Formats: sequence, C-alpha cells, structure tokens
Amino acid sequence: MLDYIDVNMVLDRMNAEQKEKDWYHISKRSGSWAVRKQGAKSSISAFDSQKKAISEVKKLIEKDSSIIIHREDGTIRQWQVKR
Amino acid sequence: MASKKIKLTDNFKKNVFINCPFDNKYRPFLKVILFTITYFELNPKISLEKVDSLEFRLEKIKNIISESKYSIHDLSRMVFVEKSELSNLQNMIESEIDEINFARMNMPFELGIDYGCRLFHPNNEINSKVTLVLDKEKYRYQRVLSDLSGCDIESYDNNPENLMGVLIDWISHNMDNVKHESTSELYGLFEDYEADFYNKFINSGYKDSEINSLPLNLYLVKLKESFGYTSI
Repeated sequence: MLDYIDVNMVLDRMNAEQKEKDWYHISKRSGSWAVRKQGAKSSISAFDSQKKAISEVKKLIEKDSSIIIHREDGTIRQWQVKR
Repeated sequence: MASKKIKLTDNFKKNVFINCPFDNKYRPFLKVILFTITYFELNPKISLEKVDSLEFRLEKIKNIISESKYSIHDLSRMVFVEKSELSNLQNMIESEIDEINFARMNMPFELGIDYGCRLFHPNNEINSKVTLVLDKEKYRYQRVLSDLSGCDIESYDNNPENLMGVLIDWISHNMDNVKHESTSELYGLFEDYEADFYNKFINSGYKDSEINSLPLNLYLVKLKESFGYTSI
C-alpha cells in the first residue's frame, strides 16, 4: 500500500495517456482527403490525395499519435502510430 | 364488415425496419444507417436481429414490418442488365456474374410487403408509416419498378457521408422538434465511434478481418450501449 501519492507523477501519467489518445482521421470528405482530430467538429486540412494527406499529417502530429486511414467507404484501412 | 382492431406494439413509433443487403460490401453503409437511426433515439430493426431458427424468415420480416412506423429500403444493389449489355454477359465468367448480384430481389419484395402492410393492415394507425427508398440513381427505379412512381426516392452516390445526409433530412422532416448536428459533424462522431470500436476490439486480441465480420447484432448492442440506451 502506498504511503503517499505523488500527484505530479499521476498527472504526468495521465498526460502521457492523453497524448497516446491523440488520433487523427484521414478520410474522403466532400471529394478531398480530409484530416480531422478525433473529437473535433471540423477538419484541420484537406488534400487531393490520400498519400499526400498521410505524409503531411505525419509532419504535423506529435510522437505516439495515431493516424487512422479510412477507405472511401469509410471503413478503417490502416491504423498507424507515429514513433 | 368492421375491421378488427389490432394493437400496435408500444415501440411502433420508435422502430425502423431496415431492408438492405447484409453482405460485407454493404456493411459500411449499414453501419452508417444503424448509427444515424440510433443517434435519433430510434430503434433499428433488421431481419438478422432475431436468431431463432424456428421462426421462418418471412414471418420475421412480416412481424418487423408491422412493428415499425419507419422503414428504409435500399434498392441500390438491385442490378438489371440492359439488352445491349447481354452480349458482354455471355463473355463473363461465373464469378463475375455473381459479382453483379442478380439475385437482389429480396429488397423490392420486402418493400412490396411493407407497402401492402400499410394498405391492408386492420389497424388504421399503420397508415402513418413513413418510408424512405434509396437507389443508385434517383430515377433508375422507374425502368424496373414503375409502380413506385410518386414515392420519395433518394440516392447517395455510394458515399457514406451522403447517405447520412439523406437519412438526417428524412428523419428531421418526419419527426417533430428534432435537433441535431450538421451532417459533417455527425459523420465525424460516427468516425470517432468506429475508431473507438476498432481500437477496443484490437486491444482485446481481435484481428482486423474479425472486427469487420463481427455479428451485426453485437455491433448494434454495443452501439446502443454507447448511446446509453438499454431498453429500446
């Protein structure tokens, strides 16, 4: 049993878990490949091709964030984690 | 002769009969339908829902239809071949012929049962049934199902977000005091839900292919749980 709780340690861990939960969707929306963060109401940016969207989003996001790549029918084609 | 009064089920005003293909190619669109219907606190009813093998499929369909105020019929997979295309057909191998799914006649057949239920059901309240017919192109049905002329037919260009937009318009037009997100925002919520669902199952040891072929009943139960509905 712990004698004390290190609040900062708990907060660090929570923040780390939160960072792991940053997910970015790349999906076909209104004719373009849009990038949207999980939970956001609107897209961050849009690209002509899925390939371009993937390469650009990798530059923008932090380490351990996930990129969820959708097919045109909306299903998940691939789940990548930036390392 | 006075018609016999048959009581409709308590959930009649919440139930939505979904008449569509259940194959893997259609599943992404069926998920959009299930999500959107559930978001509006309606209860999707699909014929796969009951697994009692003793109940004949047609009897199940009849019961679901008579228990549902709303119905969605997707005829977009109903394929017909133009006379001019018949020569191409002779050059096709069997698997290619299977691919174009000639036998998609269940959907128009069940649409006919639904329409007949409205016409002949002894309870007049069933006249309030509301029907949405979906097809590939808005007027394609006129060439093969001309009896449908005058019905509300919508198309969605095989695009899941367009499908959601059609459903939102239809529901908000037919239900009172409905407040909802825009199609774009609601589609974002759907993507978020699908990602959560996928992530949970991957972390539970499921393979990608297994997640995509999970029983629809399970998907529906999880969907209702995520919306906090336990009893609909």
